[in-house]
Amino acid sequence: MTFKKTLPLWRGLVVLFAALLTLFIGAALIMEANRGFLDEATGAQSEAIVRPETDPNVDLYTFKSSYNTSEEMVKANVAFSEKVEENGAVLLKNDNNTLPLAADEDAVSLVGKAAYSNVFGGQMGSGSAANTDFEGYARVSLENALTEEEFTINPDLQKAYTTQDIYSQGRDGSITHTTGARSVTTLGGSFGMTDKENWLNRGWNYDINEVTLAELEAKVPGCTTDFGNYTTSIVVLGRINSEGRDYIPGEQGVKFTSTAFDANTGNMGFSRNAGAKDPLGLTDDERAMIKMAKDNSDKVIVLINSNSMMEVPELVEENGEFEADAVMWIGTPSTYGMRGVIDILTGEVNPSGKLPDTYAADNSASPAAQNWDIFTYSNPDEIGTVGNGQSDKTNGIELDAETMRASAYTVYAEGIYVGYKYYETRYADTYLDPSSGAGSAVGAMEGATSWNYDDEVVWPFGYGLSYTTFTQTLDSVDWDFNAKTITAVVTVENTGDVAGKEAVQLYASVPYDETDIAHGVEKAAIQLVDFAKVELDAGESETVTITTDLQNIGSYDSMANGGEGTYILGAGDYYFTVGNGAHEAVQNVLQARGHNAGGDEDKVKSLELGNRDERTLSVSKNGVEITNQLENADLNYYIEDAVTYFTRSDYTNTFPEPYTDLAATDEMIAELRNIKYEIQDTGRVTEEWGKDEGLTLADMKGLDFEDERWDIFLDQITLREAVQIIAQGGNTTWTLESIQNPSAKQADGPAGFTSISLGGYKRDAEDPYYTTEDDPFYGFAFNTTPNAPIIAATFDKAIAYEWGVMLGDESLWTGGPSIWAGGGNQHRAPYEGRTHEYYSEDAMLSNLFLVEQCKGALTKGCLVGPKHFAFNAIEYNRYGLSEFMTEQAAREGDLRCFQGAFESGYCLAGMTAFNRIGASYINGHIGLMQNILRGEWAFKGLLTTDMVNNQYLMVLGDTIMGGITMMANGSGVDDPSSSHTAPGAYWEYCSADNIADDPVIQAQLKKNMHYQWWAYAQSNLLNGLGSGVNFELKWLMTWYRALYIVGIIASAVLAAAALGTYVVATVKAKEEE
Amino acid sequence: MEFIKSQRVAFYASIAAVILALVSIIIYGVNTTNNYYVTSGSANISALVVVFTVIAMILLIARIVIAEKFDGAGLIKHVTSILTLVACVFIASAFFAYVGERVYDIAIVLASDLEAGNVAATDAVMQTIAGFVLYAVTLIFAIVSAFARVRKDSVA
Repeated sequence: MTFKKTLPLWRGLVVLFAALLTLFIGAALIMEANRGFLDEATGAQSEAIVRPETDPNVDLYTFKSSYNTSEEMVKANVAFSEKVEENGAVLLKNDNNTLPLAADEDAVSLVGKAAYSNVFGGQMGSGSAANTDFEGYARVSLENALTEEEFTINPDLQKAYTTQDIYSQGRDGSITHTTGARSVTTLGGSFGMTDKENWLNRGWNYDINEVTLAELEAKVPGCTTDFGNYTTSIVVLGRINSEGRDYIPGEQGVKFTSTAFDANTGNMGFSRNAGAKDPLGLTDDERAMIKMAKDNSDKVIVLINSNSMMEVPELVEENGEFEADAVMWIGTPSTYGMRGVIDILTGEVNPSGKLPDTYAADNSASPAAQNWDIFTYSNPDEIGTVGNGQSDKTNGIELDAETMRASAYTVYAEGIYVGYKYYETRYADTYLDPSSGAGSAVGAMEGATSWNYDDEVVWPFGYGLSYTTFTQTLDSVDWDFNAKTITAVVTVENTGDVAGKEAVQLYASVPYDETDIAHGVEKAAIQLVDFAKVELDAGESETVTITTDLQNIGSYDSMANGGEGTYILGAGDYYFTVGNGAHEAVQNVLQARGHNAGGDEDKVKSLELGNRDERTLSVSKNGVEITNQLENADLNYYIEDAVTYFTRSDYTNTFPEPYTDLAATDEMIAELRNIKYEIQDTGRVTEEWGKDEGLTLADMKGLDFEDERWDIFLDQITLREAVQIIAQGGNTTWTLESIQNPSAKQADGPAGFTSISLGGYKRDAEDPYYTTEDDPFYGFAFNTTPNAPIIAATFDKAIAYEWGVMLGDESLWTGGPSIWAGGGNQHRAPYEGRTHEYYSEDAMLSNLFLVEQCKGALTKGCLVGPKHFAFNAIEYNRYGLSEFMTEQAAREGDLRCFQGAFESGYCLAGMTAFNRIGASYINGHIGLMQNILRGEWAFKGLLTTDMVNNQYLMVLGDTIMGGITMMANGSGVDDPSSSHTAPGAYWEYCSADNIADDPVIQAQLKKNMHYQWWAYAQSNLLNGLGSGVNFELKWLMTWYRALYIVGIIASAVLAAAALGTYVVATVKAKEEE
Repeated sequence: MEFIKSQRVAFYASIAAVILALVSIIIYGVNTTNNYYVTSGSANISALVVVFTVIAMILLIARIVIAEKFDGAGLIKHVTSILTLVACVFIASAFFAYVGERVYDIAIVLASDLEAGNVAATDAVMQTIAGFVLYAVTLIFAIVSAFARVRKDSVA
């Protein structure tokens, strides 16, 4: 063969290896751009921190863990999970002392698919339960927990339930058949927008799909008719929750039109919801299994394994076919909480939890449920800019309404009447004002001819039983208008035979008068003000003093102070009481007001306010005058009389109706098109950027917010850095060249550190909590704590504080200085997919828990960032969902949930929501974000958006102007165009170059940088560092780096070799010629 | 007929690569404007992917034209070699630009439960993967063309 003939071979090899070299370089760029995710997903560590030599006598590790070893840390976490469940599970029914179980009642029959396939946490998102298989600390199921306590489980039923045929549909539509325990059905949904028809077509309505008795008999004949010696039945009812998806109220939510596979017929499309009137109600199959348990058992104990409030009136119907002997709500106990459930069943622990939500007989009949659905604007073509000559004013592109996340809305026509504030107020008004129509059939449960409390409510908010009995005496109540506080003294006595804990729930009933009605101010007949928890031995008593803010009983009046609006205290009598739940409390107040409601008037104290007070609560704790800020949240602001808000003065004519077919007005459309802040070009910029002052973040450790050194420090940051650290703020805050901050990994919550496990982001080998892969607990995941409603149900601030401390310890052992937790949003209705992440339907319960949680975490230098501020109440179409409500509903609902934490000074972080307030993108609503959050509440911490997955809604300029310090835009360190939504393209209007002459946005940027770095300077991010002691980054080899480096070198060498050979062959070929 | 008889593997491989590149870029355009990506706000057409692919197509065509016009003697064979080399580098670059743009979506849809059960999301990502495969096949054909001659009587 001649050299000439070999030329194509060498040429081909050069090309081959050059192409490979290109691919490896490309892979390197992609991997490095996404190394935050890669490290997280694979446990790799791509960088380390190296500290300089320091004085060994000076300990710069400011924040200390409560635990010295990883084993201690893990064991404490496991124990806390169990403790929360023990203190939060709520005993709701206990006829004839069914519980606790006697020592010889250790043979149990487990009934229901949820008994074998428990709901441990959320289906999707940040409230899931971890460590399914962690060696030695694997997830504990109900079966595991019973076995650990030496119970025996009915083997026939167990076999029948755990050998069911399961057909699952793969992503490609293929059907897979397995056998096992059938899971509680998951919820359907998507990241995208959907309209109602689309939702129905996708088959996202809920299929409860309980295992039928016939299916059990098919596996083990006779198992449904003879339980043998296993005559104590534990029936488990399960419903799941999830981010990004909801239940839909009433029959439409169970009218199944799915294309799921029917194992019986082999066809697509079936329903197992017969008899269910709501996805949270019982099906005939579930009733049948309860009946089966009753027919074969001496005792039937029902465990409600759900955070969404189920409709189970059947369980309490006296002598009814499906009545249970005992009922306990266990929420979702996460990884280890089932042990706590068993501790209560056996009596090792006395239950003390109280319901954080109302259990209604028909959730779909509540005022909030009337507008809980998928509503889309009737004029999307006018909202969108496609083809109508109204392209985006900044970028000149056309977008449809869905793409700009502007197609859906909801109306809070219920006003403040959410949860018990509706049910108990309506109950009270049947006594106080029958002419209001409180007892009419309007808004009553389906089929009722009148509204009757006992039919409507199964268990009230705040209710819970114990194995002992307590008496509570309200000794005194006083208020101090100078200190703006209320002080109540309550004596609690354990009058039973065993030790136990009891929650003291302080309620208030405030006057509701003609002025309120004229001003459109609504007031619940009863409201939780504060609470405390005591632990008492049998016969022991204790007096507790509760001091709480006067503002907690204030009402927001948009017409007060000459129409400026503020919080007011109406004239009249204020009643204070204690009780085992809101219903008992309102009964006490009614009794004290002369109505025979079965309450105890001796538990009531009253205070009189002579005149309507529009002054005392008109200034915030921060000294800022409180005025209307959310007027454009009200749909009536845009369209006169568009909404008739629900008022307790007229149930008949104002009970909410669904607001369908809403057409957005031109003024609304201007808001819906998102970009509101237009870049200025005045040239009068005074902000300084990029100065060389020699300060690092470590030098700022622990400095006060007002310290003048911050001005010098902040001037070092370049304008480009400031824009970029906001635009690409998540889920890692990267190191800025100018201030040499350590990069900060942000963890997700709220059930514990979800996205970083033990040792996951520890980069400083000298750190006392540094762990490596050879540590047996390395990789232990901390999202093991029972979900938020169970935590709230403890009604125990000490547990909330301990929860915060636990998060702080998790922070120190994982290396993430911040976590997006806890979930503060109000449970507007039981259908909310994210009920498991949020505490309660009551704003004060959420408020006080968040305060304690943040306070506890900060002792460990952990920044707890409550989410999702604010009004994330519906998951479907949450991106850009227009939420219309009155300012009173906003301030006394969701905002009050968050207010305590943000106002307290203990909370230095927060996460905002996806939705809008009114028609405005929430992060761009200056009234909410600047005037309330940063103004009235004086919140100075860092603030992130939720995950950026739509560049058109989550626009950079408005987000900066709203005071956001970081956008959860995760991929790409240096290149904005490499991120998921490529915001670099759409956000270019707000690039450093384009805002170079805009003094307004630059001033806000400077403020945002101050918030961000001040918060980090107070955190454990700077553990081991200090003034004059900063770190150096050390590049670490990871598997993916090894892969691309080997690939690049090998392909480069081979390409060079091939090229050399090609050259030689060319020369030789010429010689041959 | 004589023209066809005188063609060799590189001619057909290059033509195939050009056609595949054309299909790839069409699929890329369709995929990027897929309704799922549009409604999730990530429907941005990358200039890098488009420009790199178009340049590669032009270079591959140029190689064929040059090889057909000249016998490959002297510098010509080096020019065609360089054209092929650069074309392959551009195809590979377009490929990784495409992957880089969509890697996050693929992770969301296939490696997490965030879009579980969402057929539209799965379809969009499967279409994306089909686009990747097309680019990979295009690259393979382009590389194959480098190992061979365009014409029987030419080394170009």
